[in-house]
Amino acid sequence: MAAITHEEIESEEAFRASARAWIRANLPDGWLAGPRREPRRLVDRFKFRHEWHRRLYRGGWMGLHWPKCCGGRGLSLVEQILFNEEAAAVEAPPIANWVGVELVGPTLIRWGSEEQQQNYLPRILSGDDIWCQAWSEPNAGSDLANVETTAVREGGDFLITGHKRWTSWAQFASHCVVLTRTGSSSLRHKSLSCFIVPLSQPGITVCPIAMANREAEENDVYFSQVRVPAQNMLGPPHDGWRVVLTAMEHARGTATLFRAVELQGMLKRLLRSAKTARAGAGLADCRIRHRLTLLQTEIEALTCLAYRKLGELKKGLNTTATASVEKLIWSRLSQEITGLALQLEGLNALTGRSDNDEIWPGQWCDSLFRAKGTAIEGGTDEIQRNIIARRVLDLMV
Amino acid sequence: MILTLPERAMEIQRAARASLGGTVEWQTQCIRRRADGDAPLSAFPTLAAIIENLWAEEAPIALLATALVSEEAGYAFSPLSPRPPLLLAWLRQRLDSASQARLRSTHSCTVSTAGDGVAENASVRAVCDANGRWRLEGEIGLIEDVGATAAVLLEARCDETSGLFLLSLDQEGVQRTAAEPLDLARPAFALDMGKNSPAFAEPMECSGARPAIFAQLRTIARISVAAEMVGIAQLMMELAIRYARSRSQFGQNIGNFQAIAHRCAEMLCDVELVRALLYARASDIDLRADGRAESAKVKMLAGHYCPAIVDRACHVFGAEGLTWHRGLHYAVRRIQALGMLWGNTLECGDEAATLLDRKLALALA
Repeated sequence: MAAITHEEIESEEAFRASARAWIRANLPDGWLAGPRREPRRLVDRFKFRHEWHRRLYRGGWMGLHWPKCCGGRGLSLVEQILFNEEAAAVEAPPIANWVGVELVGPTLIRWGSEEQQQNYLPRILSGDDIWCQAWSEPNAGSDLANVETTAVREGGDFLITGHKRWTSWAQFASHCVVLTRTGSSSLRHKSLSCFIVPLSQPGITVCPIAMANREAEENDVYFSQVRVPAQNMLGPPHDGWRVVLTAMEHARGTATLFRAVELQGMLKRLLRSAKTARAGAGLADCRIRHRLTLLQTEIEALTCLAYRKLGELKKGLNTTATASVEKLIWSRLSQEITGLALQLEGLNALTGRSDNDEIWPGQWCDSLFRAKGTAIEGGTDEIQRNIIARRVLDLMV
Repeated sequence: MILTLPERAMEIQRAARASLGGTVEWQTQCIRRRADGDAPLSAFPTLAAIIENLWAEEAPIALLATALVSEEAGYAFSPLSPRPPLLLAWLRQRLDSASQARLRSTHSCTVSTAGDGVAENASVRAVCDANGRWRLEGEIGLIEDVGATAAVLLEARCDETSGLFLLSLDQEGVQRTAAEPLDLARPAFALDMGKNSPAFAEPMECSGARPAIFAQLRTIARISVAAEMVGIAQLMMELAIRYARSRSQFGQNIGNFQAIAHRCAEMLCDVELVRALLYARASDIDLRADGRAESAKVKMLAGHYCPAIVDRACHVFGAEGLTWHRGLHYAVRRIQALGMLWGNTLECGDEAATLLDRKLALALA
């Protein structure tokens, strides 16, 4: 840590105070006083988050650490962290266009042409465009380099054909970054290219996938001879793998901070559950207290780890392996929180009844399934361990 | 919020590492050799000097450097605990001049607060007799030795409060038992005071409120113990990885098997998690305020993860890991012993839960 001067501390505190004041004054109606609960139905929840996204944008709080030339505020990651912490303190809702702001945006800033940046970045921040990423396929999950969706050149355009799977929030999205094969499949990751595709293009079908928690954040997306202009290619031809790595680095990198913040919010809900749980199972029970204390400490440690990684990022170090460490810890803690919450709710969790009026019936059951997904999405736990073993520990070589 | 370690703290860490001998190759050979020895601190003159000067650093650096130096002691499997000199150096600054003079006259001194570090459990009582002389009564299960320790600076309860006393071990009323400790590689002893004849001690006067001093002492000690546990966990993980790279079965190194490689990856995750919290709290605990619960959290987390890391590392060695000659049991012993010093995982968890209560109050607000 470069020694922080007194002036910097004062300026950080001033920023924190202004973020806190703005957030508290602009949260959804009744949020602070009420149960801080988002709508249960996915479509309503998306609208709710979209409204919050727009409100943040209008207040000038979106893209804090994006460069000014890209529509951001040009602030440092430290300010972004401070803002996130203040948002977490009141369990502010997530934003609708999370994929756009946290994954696609930084990737466009790194790889996009000037025209692409001008066209898309401001609308990502404003929430006018909602983005998704279409990478995985039925036969290209952990082995992403096995992508079979093709992009074939035809004049000044490319024709995209294939089947994408696990495309989060595609049913609400207007744009998509698609990973395609543009050369021989024997070249594996050296013949992949990325394209920006408006989802309104003819030939695209989006089919939500009903998940075990009865929600459908994930989608199958079918591309049938979808025509996109060549200038929609993102990054150099056949170099889509590096584009994907940039986004992954953000997904496993700065995004961890958001995840740590998300866990803090979950813990708060869990604490309230513990307080209201039936006699014998709540905070009076020393076993529950110990588990909660340990969980709270682990989440705090994960947050510290994320801060440390930001330090590495600031120094320009490669953080891929650290990101895998964090991802593994995050997915484990997510599952532990929901598992403990279910135990606290007891039989009520099974019958969908709850003593706790701030959660909807069966919410923790739903969260349990969602949390299980954290061990799969963005690279399974096994893939993360492979990355650590190979890149850090020099094993499995 | 700490993004990277301050350069000054890293300088101290590098110096400590150099003084302790450093490389993992060297440590592999030395675990057993060190385990047999009873080397005095003079074997590590540079480290002693580093520790002596640690509290002259600026406040935010001092505690972090304490953690880093202790971690290095763990990583180097130091036969001598860094805590007695650390705590002594810190206390010395707070003693009045008369007490400082008394301390200077002792040959070699260690520090204890009744073994488990929980004030309410203080098992030593101080009584002032008609002649104004103080006698100590009670017992302490384990005191970290500095090698040929001549005196102990310890906390004892007198009436409703606690006091700091200097107890010379060279007197009839003090029975020092060098029982075989769990950690065979580090000298320690048990003390019985005033059983058959009186154990006289000299009260030491500190600047500032005594309870606060003892609380701060515990904070420093817990950060140091947790850091040492992280160092040992790191060392054992590295030894396991080296073994996995060299041990061949089924025609290839066992490190090529996911079952082993993933086990090692999990060790790294756990050690990094504890280290992240350790560095963060060692950087921002204000010793003038009450940092007990925060340091208890760090100790709890280290106690939860580090012994498990050491166990997993041993498992990579197969039955070799359980042999006497391989010497890994010394690390198992030490990590278990450290887990019990200055509050075990459950006790620290109880203290940390007070913070949880505050968080809960906020969550319910």
